[in-house]
Amino acid sequence: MNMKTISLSLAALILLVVAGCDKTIDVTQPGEYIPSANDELATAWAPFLADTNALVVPAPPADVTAELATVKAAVAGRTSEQNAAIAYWSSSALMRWNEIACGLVAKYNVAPYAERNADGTFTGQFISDPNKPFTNPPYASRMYALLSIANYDGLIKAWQVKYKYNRAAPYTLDPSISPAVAKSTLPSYPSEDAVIAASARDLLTFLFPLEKDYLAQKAKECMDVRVWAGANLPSDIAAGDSLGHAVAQLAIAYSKTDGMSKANDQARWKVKEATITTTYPHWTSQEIPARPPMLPFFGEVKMWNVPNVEAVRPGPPPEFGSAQWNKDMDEMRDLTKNRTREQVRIANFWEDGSGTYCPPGHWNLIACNDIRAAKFSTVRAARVLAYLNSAEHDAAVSCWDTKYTYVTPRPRQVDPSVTMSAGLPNFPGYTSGHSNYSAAAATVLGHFFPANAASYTAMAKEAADSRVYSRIHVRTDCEVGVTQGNAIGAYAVQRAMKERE
Amino acid sequence: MLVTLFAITTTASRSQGMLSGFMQGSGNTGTSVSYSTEQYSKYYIGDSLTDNPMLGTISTRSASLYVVGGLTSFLDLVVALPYISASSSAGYWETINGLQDISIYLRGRVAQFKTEDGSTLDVMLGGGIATPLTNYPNNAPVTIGHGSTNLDGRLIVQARDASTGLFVAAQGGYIHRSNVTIDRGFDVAVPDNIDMSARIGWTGPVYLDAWIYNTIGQSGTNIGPGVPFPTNRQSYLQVGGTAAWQLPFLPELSINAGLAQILSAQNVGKSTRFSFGINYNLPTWGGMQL
Repeated sequence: MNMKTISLSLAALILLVVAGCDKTIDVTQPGEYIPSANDELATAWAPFLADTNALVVPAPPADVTAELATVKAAVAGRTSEQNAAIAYWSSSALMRWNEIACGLVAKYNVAPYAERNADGTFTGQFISDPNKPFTNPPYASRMYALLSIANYDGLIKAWQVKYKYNRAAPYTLDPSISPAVAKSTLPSYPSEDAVIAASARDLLTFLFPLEKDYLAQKAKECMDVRVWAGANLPSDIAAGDSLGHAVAQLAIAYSKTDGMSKANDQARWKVKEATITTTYPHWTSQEIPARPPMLPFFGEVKMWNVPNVEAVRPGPPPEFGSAQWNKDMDEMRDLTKNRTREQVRIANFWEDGSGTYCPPGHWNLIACNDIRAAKFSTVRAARVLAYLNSAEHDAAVSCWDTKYTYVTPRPRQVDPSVTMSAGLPNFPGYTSGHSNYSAAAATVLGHFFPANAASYTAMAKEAADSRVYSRIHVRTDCEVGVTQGNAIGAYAVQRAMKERE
Repeated sequence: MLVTLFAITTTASRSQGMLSGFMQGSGNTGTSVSYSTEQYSKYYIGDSLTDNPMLGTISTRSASLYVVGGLTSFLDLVVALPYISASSSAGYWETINGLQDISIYLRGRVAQFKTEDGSTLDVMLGGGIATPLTNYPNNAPVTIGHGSTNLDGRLIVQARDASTGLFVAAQGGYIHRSNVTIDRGFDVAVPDNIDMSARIGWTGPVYLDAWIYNTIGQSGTNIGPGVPFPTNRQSYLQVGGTAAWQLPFLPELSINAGLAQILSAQNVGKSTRFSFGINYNLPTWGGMQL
């Protein structure tokens, strides 16, 4: 090898390096979502918000000549940007809005800012912007439930109207229209995508007021693509928009009276906490500066499927210094000293902490993957998400009730030698939220996807174990949490089984 | 003697980056074991300097093995392997430690201009790969690296005046980083960086240098709520200096010490680093005959 060859090779290496600077990640986008059934039986399903039954959708206009011309012109004049938008939304508007909601949770999952004095010390005040909700796990689970229920209830009503009027899609009314999406025999009035977009837009705008423009733009595009694709008439869209708007108002009205506004009453909590007697020291914040406990009265928020929170409240945790207590703490100390890389991976995989879509969001992702594989009708897919997320909401309520009934310390508070590999949440330990969410989700999803039931159970156990591995929870918190979550999920399943599915 | 002196300089003057401007010389092998400690209590989120009482001071201690061998008079092979331990003084995060990334580099002199008195101007190209030896976690507040595999290409120019022993060097490079899979179960992109540095120094009875280094992230995000992430765009301006001394009674051995300070940055800690190393020159083996 001579000097010239070497210098040429090195120069080639540099060129190769500089040329390889593309920073895109290949994420496989879902293709078009083509349901394998229409599910007319959904017209008999009961909405979660009973007032949905009273909503009235007017009959579709009889003369569609002008609308068909509009659709034809839209199809003929389609741009490449419009085709890209069609590809995005035709992969399931329902699941796209679920993704958008998960994205908002991740974006707003930031604890209130700890205010500082000019010298850098803390004032003890935590500043939160009322327009920026802190999408912690209880908040997120309640939001996912409200969204999924608004979507589902709107779709039940939409299915009733669809099968009442049986209006055909534009490409059936005028065979010269060639749609950009798969043809469907589902009656097209009102547009199910418009119902989903409008209910999601209005509910999420209520919860995230700063996202108003973003959500309006997303909803408009979600509706517009149906006309650009030749899949709906403008009147299908308008009726869906009105119905989605109306059902969102019902969900918003419900949310104003579900008890959330009283969930963070710290003064009342101080009074209540003084009445609680325990063998162990009460939980105290491990943060610097110490923060008030998160949502001490979230346990009083209305539940969707469980008749009352006492019905699923577990008994007390082990007594301080008991054999079980000591065994739990010994495991925390052992894991602080020694843990496998696989245990660390599991702890990180299920952490779903600050800046993420939270544990219920993780289970939504799992559910959406399995819905795609099953090719459920849109209304059945919405049913899965509504039952899943109502159970996740109930799990949050029950878990928070348990946490603030028993006020147990976190392992590190008991023994400061315990370190952690995940962010420590700012509320009592017993029982574990991850365990509740995961077991409830596994139970509900196991009902809708029986073939996957065993794998969901295994995933829920792994999620529960993950909190032990990261030393966020002692094992008892997680084992009892799994039993509790299973019971909460069973209430949702019981409700679902009342109907012909 | 001159060969030995340059062997010190090749290990001592790499305080920032894998490659210095001193060629090793055919058949000469320098080895170095170094210890460094780097600390910061303030870090940059984007451009703004902040602190986190839940982390306190982050300390990174590393022990590195560095070997540079002259394959020929114009081609060197460089291998480095650090063991790193990272911990925080406050809060509850566990200490992370482990073998980090092995680096394997080549440096080739493509041109040398020499005056009659022996002063030189060297032009070198360098390139290498760095890749993790262990599957360490790469997205925690306390971690030892990004876990990416990096390709690095650079141009190095150095002039040395034979009569005074003074030298100046400059280099610029591009580091391409691969995507990484994080424990949460998906792939993320780690930004590439362009870096450049300038160094001035003296190779007399002792070795002394002072340098300035600037690295600029070419893409990426700012640190999100609380937690650094492999996608963060990391840039910084750093200055430092090095001193090395050859033991008179044992000329194969030399010791060196270095200091580095970050002046301004994006998405990294405003750190101060001290390092200390012992260099040993293996007996020459003559080099490859090409």
